[in-house]
Amino acid sequence: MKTNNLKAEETQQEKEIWEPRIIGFLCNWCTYAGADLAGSSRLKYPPNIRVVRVPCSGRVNPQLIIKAFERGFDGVLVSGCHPGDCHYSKGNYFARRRIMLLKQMLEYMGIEPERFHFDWISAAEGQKFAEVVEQFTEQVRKAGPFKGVGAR
Amino acid sequence: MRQKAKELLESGEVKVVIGYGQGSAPFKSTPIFIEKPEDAHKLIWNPTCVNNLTVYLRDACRQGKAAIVVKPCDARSIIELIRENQIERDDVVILAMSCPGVLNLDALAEIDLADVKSVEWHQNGIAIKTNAGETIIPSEKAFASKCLSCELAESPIADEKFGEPIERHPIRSKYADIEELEKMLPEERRAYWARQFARCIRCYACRSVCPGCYCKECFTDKPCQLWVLRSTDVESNWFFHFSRAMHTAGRCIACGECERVCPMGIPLMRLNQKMRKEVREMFGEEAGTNPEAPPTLGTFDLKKDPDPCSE
Repeated sequence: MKTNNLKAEETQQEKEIWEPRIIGFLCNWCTYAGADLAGSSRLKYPPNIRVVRVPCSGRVNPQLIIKAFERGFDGVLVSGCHPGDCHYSKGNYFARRRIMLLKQMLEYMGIEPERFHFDWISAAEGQKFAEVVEQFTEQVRKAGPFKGVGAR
Repeated sequence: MRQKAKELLESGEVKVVIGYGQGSAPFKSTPIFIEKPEDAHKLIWNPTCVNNLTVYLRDACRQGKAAIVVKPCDARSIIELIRENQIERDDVVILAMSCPGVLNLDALAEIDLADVKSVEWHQNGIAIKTNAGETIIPSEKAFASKCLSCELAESPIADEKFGEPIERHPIRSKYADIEELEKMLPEERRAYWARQFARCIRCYACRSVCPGCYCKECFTDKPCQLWVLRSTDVESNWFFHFSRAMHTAGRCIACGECERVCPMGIPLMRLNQKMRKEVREMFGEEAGTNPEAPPTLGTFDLKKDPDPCSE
């Protein structure tokens, strides 16, 4: 009994100090610049996101996202240029197909859909970037700590 | 079929005929590569011809024109190979057999295997001849599970067809298994897959047997262990199988070979069928139907593609 109580206490403590860990794959030409704008405009957004700059949302290999979950990230954000605005003219269209499929598969593999978010954010949308990160962080916080893909 | 194979080799039109030969026991077949016309009699065709031989096609076509014996389901992987520029249509002669279904080895559990003389098709399933007499195993037990939901009456691509087209009455939905999984909670599904992948010994048999897995160097073989560890643990196994599912997305033709060769009995088709279902629902494409179409994930449709942000 005592150990059980101890465990419950621990998890309670853990919950209190737990902060969602989120990794963001941002396209160099739009969203990364958007994030930069959010920063230089001194907008506030949660510090939970770690940003990886990629040349294009089309560069986001599904394996990168799968790996992030395997390593125990609580949430993954992918963002690129709006359709039609791609620096490489069609990278984000390829990304769109791939991400749609990946999204379904993630859910099928038992990862709650709240843990993954995809958005189009342009270089001018610093405000939107801050909002998306804010909303997504809250969403992941609600979903709780990710127990890992090996949890049986 | 033997006659045709012989002719092709005699005339020098093809360098090799890839087909099925007698295996180590009457209930087994083995892939054979015939290069001399006088060896053509070694080709067999019966319910034990389970393998998808198209996995050998890329290497064979590099040596010259090749002929291959295929079931209707396997023929779809040839379409995929053509579609992805792995082989040229002109480099292959497709000998398409009509196929009532192939043997599920588990169906032989109650039969003394040492006694088996022959395995043949029967109108109600598969007939096994033994010393003691003939046993008829009913279709739903005798055939591999992929055959029970098969809708392909004849090969979608062929140079020469043998046998009559077969009327198909699927007795099982191909999505039955995955629908059961879809009903679970995400957490249960995660636990389900963790249980399955905990068994995986990463022998890579599923990868080797897959005609759609043709990368010269697989990400798992990279010397820097960035993607998966050499050792097996649930996480790495999960990563490997999930990645493989994404890699074969849009080109998996559900021949079921990965699941068949898995020594640990991991239900890999539950992954592949889900992916095929999603590809069909979202992009309206089905692998193995159109050799002219560009690869599913290597193209896009400006208007019709769903948008991940609009949900």
